[in-house]
Amino acid sequence: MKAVIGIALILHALALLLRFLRRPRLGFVSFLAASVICLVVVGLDWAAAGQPPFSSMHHVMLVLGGCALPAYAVLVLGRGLAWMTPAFPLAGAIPLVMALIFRRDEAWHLAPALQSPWFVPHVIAYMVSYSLALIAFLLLVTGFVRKGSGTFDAAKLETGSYEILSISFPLMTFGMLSGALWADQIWGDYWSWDSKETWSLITWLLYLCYFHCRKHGSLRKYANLAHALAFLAMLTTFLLVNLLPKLASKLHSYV
Amino acid sequence: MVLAVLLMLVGVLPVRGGGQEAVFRSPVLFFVLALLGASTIACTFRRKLTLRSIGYHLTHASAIVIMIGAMIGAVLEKKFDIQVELGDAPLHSVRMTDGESLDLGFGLSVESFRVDKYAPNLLVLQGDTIMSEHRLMPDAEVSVGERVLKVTQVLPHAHIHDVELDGTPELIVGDPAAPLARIATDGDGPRDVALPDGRSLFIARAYNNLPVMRMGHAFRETPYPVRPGLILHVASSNQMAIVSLAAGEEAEMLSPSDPTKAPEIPPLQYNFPTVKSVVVHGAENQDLPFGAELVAEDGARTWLIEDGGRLGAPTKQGAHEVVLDRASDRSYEAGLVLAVDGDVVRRRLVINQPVDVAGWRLYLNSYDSQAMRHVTLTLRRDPGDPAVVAGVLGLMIGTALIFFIRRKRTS
Repeated sequence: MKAVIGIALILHALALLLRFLRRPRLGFVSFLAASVICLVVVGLDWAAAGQPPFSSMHHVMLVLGGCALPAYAVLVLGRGLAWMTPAFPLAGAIPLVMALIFRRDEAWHLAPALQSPWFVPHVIAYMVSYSLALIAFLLLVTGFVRKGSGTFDAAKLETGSYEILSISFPLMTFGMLSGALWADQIWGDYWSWDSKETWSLITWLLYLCYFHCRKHGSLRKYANLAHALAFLAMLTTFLLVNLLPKLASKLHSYV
Repeated sequence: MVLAVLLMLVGVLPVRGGGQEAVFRSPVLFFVLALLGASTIACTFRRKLTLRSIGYHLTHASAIVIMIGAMIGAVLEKKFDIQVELGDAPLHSVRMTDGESLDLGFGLSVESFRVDKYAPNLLVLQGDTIMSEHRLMPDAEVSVGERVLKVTQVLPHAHIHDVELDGTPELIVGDPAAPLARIATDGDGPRDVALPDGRSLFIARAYNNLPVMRMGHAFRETPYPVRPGLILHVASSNQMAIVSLAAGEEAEMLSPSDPTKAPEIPPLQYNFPTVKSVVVHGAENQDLPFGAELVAEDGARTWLIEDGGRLGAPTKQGAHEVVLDRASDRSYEAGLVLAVDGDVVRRRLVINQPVDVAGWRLYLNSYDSQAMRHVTLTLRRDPGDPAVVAGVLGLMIGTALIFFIRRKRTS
């Protein structure tokens, strides 16, 4: 199955290349195929095991490889923001590289605590939110890299970034708060200050800072800084807390 | 907001010595959250309440409601764990850590407990490293080195009805050329073996079924031939050891885990005869482990027993071996009997589904996995909880209103 994931990765890369070769329709087809492959593999694994496969990093990365598709439909096709197209396959390709690195389990068992109606909406909301946050960060980096070139519209990139985070943030809010309601059902504590929880709150607060900075004229100059810090905090929440033993979470362990 | 972020970073950034997470229980955090609450209130008053701004006001009001609920909980919440023995008389009060007795206002007893297990996975091992993991189901095929083994039967509660051996399992103590003793491990009782240095080795018990002791797994005796082993006692040094044996392999010292404390024992060699036939039946007894029959391409049959046991042809190929993992919990539930105001109510308590009774919320925390004699429940009474839950729902809806509704309108 890793070969199929490899094909999805190549298709994402091809979509990016076709965009630069000014073949947007072919690029879209390639991006669509890559995203659908990722979601179909997750769906097949889900059906085979009879359980959602989100307790392993491999599958979480696969979801990230395909979950930007609905946002693409809303932003690029719906709102005509075609100029941000290259960010989507790039944001799909990065997690697929990691999906190939992480061990692919053919068998998994959800622990009793994970068998909750909150599990799937909590994970999906976070995954779509993180995928969009990655796209928004790629736009921020593009703006920073091309700052001196004078061939781009900085305001356009910042607005695009804001548009994407405006979809990402409510999903992130739902993910965090549904986690709190879920924890209340399992442990009798909606908040335990576990490292994963705390980092997710730090991430959320930094994105909240970003929106407040965007809103207030005097603070607007700090918006990009808040955005960059929020993304770094998000990486810590999503990856480092699970991969670095020193940041390990006692209550949220999956790799 | 920035202050709150900085404070939280203090709590989670790894530093030498650790312990800085105490910041989350300190008055400093309360103060910063109170400041955040005050600025949130100030924000809500700066903007008029209109239909357009309803999302804005709902999010800010909800954040304040969450903080108020959390403050109430911090002051008034009562939460503790209790261990309840199955079938014990109803519990009406609990003794708190400060020695005071707390009246629950209802009677609580546990009349039943049930655990459902997942079928254990098939593990292909190379030494202690898991090379691959496969779902255990009929007709599944597993590659072990160059061999392919096919699963022909899966039994959730495997009862080994009969095993026919070609000979008797035998333990050879000392040099096989001139052994100190030959012990037929099938039925031999305790015995002394003289060591060349004058000490004596007391074989307290020879098991045909010593389970493999792994990190974190308690020693337990099973009626299955997981792996033969011995409990040894070296009389003169007053030291004891548990030794695991596998046919044709070096004896492995399981206990004591510290080699400097291990008694010196003579070389041990274990000869296990070939299994001629095995008859395994499915049973109703939930205490029995999973079993799976595997057939190789040459027709050789093996029964794998949960947590490393094996009966029949070797499942090794080169450095690779296939074993059944330990079955993990799918779900567990306790049958509660609650006496409230003279009425007796029976409720099913499942993880993720707490039970509310007389102002308390009961959670199923854990259970006695060894003897299955008790369960641990968490009892919680938090007057701030409804406010927190309402605030959380309000914040979810408010955020969606701000970003999605406004976005829809502007787009």
